[in-house]
Amino acid sequence: MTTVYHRELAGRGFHVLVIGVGHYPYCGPRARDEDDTARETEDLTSAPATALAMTRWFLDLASQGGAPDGGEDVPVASVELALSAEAPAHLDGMEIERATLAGVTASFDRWYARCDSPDSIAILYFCGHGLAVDSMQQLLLLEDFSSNALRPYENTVDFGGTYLNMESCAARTQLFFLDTCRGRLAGPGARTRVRATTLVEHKGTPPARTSAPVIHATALGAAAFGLRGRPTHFSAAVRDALGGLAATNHDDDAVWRVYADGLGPAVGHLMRWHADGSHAPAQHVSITGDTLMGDSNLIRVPPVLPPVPFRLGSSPPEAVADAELTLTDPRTSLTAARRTPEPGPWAGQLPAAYYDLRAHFPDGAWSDTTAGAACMPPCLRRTVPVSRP
Amino acid sequence: MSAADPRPRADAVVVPLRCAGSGAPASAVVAAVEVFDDTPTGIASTVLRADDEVPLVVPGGRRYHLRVWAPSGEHAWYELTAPETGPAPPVTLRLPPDEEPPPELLGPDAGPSSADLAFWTPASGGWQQVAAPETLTLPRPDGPGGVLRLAPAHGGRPAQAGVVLALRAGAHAAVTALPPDGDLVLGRLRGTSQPMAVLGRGTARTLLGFLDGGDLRCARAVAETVLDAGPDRPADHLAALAAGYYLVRHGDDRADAWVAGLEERLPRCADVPLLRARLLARAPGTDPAVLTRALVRAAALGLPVVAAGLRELVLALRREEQRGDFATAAALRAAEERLAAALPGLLTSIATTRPDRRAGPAALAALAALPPGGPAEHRPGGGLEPLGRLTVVPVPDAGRLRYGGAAAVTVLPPYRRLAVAKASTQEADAHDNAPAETWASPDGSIRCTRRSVSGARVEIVVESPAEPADGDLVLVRVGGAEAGKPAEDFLVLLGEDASGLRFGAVRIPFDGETVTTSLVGGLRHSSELTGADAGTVERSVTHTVGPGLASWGDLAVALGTGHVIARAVVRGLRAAGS
Repeated sequence: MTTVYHRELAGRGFHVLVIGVGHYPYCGPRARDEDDTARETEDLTSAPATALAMTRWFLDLASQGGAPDGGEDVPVASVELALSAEAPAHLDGMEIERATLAGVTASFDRWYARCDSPDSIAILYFCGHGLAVDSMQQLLLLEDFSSNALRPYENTVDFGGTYLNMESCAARTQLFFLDTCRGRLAGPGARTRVRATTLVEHKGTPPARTSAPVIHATALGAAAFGLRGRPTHFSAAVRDALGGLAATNHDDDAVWRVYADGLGPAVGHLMRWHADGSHAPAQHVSITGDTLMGDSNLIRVPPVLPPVPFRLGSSPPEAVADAELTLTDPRTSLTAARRTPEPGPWAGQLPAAYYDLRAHFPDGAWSDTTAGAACMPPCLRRTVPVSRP
Repeated sequence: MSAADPRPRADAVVVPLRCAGSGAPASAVVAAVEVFDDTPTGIASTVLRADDEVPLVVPGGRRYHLRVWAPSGEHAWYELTAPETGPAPPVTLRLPPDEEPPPELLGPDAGPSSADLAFWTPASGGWQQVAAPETLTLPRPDGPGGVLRLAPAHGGRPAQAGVVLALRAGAHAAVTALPPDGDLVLGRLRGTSQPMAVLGRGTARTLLGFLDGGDLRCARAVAETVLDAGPDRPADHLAALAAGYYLVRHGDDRADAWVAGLEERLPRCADVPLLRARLLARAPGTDPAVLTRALVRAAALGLPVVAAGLRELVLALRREEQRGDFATAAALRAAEERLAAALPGLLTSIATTRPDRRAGPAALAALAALPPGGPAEHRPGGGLEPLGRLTVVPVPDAGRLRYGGAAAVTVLPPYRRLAVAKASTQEADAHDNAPAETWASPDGSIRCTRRSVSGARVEIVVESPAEPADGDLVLVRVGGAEAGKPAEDFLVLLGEDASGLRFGAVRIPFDGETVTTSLVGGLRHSSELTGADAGTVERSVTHTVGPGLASWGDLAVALGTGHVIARAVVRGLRAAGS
């Protein structure tokens, strides 16, 4: 059993399934010669780290409580984890079920049984290798991918079919995060040639779900990137977005709320914010699936809006290294943050508000300048133009 | 984001918002705007229009922060302070940098290039070419005549949706669903030889871009501007279609009525039955057969114009397959093949040379090697090297490039009516035994039977096995040079008789020996009729027999008594009665 958290709830609640596949024993140098895809599939150190980070984040959220409905935040009801690393994985002393087809199927079944009610918010997060047949059809490669020469794709998840058939699940809100590559499986008839496993069959009933976005870490045909031994930027963006940075406050009561339809765009912006500070190749978050709007689309009412990340640079970029930068709250005239001259853009976090940015150049190489800096969720990325005196 | 402006207050002032340099046609919606007060709370939403002002109503004497969202997902912040009272000066905003017109559109490097263009339309069980292919040297987009105006040659209206453009440059090709109106930019995907036809800037592209990026809140702000214009607005059919996608995805209560409006406006557009199917799928108690019919009709109408529509079609057909409905299996296989060969973009584009051909292994391999980055026309990091532009216009007023031109007039073999003269004394027998000649179009989409009937008339019966829709009609040209009479046009409206057969028939007086008959174009729809057709309608109704007569009456009722076509129908019905 790798149900790492479970709390009986009568009303709304998150039911989370996290799958991380970092070990592919039948792939890479161990692959059969004739299987090109398997030969090119190597172990991923970031996938287990990502899966554990996501799991721990939900466990932290669970520890913060939350109460169903009543205008308060939605609580975590259960967290299920299947994870494959080279060595058996443990979480809080518990050995984690491996992300083989058998392990994932068992985890999926438990998850499905728990989230099969209208008030559930079902969340599936997958991190590992993936292949796309088309924009809808995604294959998720599990640990025992290519273990059978006759049916190499048997131990992969047919995500397109699984997503479609999740219509039969009663959970009105279903969120799918695919932290995986979407390189196209080449060759004609790929979908019919490849026999992957659909994790649930369709009951033939009209869909009950109202929101079911699929948030892909990358665009169709593109690679998704991990950081060796560390959680992916995408997963960080997902945590930030779910944590409150996808929130809007456009309703009459000005309360910050996270809606399902706001998650994808927010993850995209946060992903770019995270990637800006690293040398990771660009990834464009892409969103497919159904998302309706309305109150049934509500994901969270975070009790506190997290600080908003910002990154401020200059045009030309080298000028920022000479600048003394100050962010001031215009309502109080108090300085909220300051940075002395140093290379690179200024990155930090501040409470959501509008600030006045002042760039002062002590050496006089550039003209001092001021600009507004709207530090609003999901994040602020701003380049301030400066000129020579 | 709330689409409504803040509640009017005594201290409200109007701040006109302008957008400059968007490169879109004037008044087109190019961005969505969130308006925050200083606290910071979102208090309103609005849009930006190209080279036009949008009034923003806010309490005066305060500072506001405006977040301008482009469909690429990029945004820019602006700050404004509203005056205490009185009219505020206009505030000019620009789109985020990635939404500025690509420099290649305006720069000197966008030199001429050539491409082969051909146009195809769905026919029964396949496709037919509607104009001879042309090799065009595309003009520079910024030069004189840089926009090729693309028009249906017979002046039809947007029922022409369904026509696809086959574009070929070198070894690469693409088939793109033509929108019912709007600009297309022709180009190559940056860094490749893959030709593309992508949607030009405009309200439809803005809305579809937000929908594609999953930003339903910004999509709502744009869609509301389209919905405000009403379902009968004659222009910007593509924006109306995009609004349909928004309403259906949004689960909006107005979706059903809006899709019904689209069914009237765009009867031959594959997207529309697809949207209907989506609504049916959600409605409790839907007869599965009805849903299947809508999907099969969508598949039969060719390619959905909107790329998301092809994904919707595949998803819906897979759903039917999962439920054990195998009637849609062939449609699913075909749609899946197209999806696997789909090029990035907001319009449906397939990497193939002709719509009736599968993408070959080489094309699929090339597709797998395409640079990623999402839809080329609006994603940062995507990119198109423009070659030229096409504008799809509803009337051929400035057509330099037309589809469905002279080649679409099909002259049938002459029909000799000698048998009537011999049988004229035995009228009843003659009617039953007159020699009939049936001609079928090469693609089988239209079958035309001619025979002599009493009163020195020729009966022309038109059928279409292609599941014709209500309001479908065929333009028949009748005339014989040897008779010394000018040719006359007749619109044969198809109707359903008591046995469920759908056909149209006219009986035309003709005293010569040889009847020359031509079919002008293929199946058309009554929604294409304009005031210029009134004379032809009146003449046609006068000579209509069979179920088409009731269909003309239904059409007149639907159009309303004041409509020029309805009046022509009434005149024709009176003449027929007399």
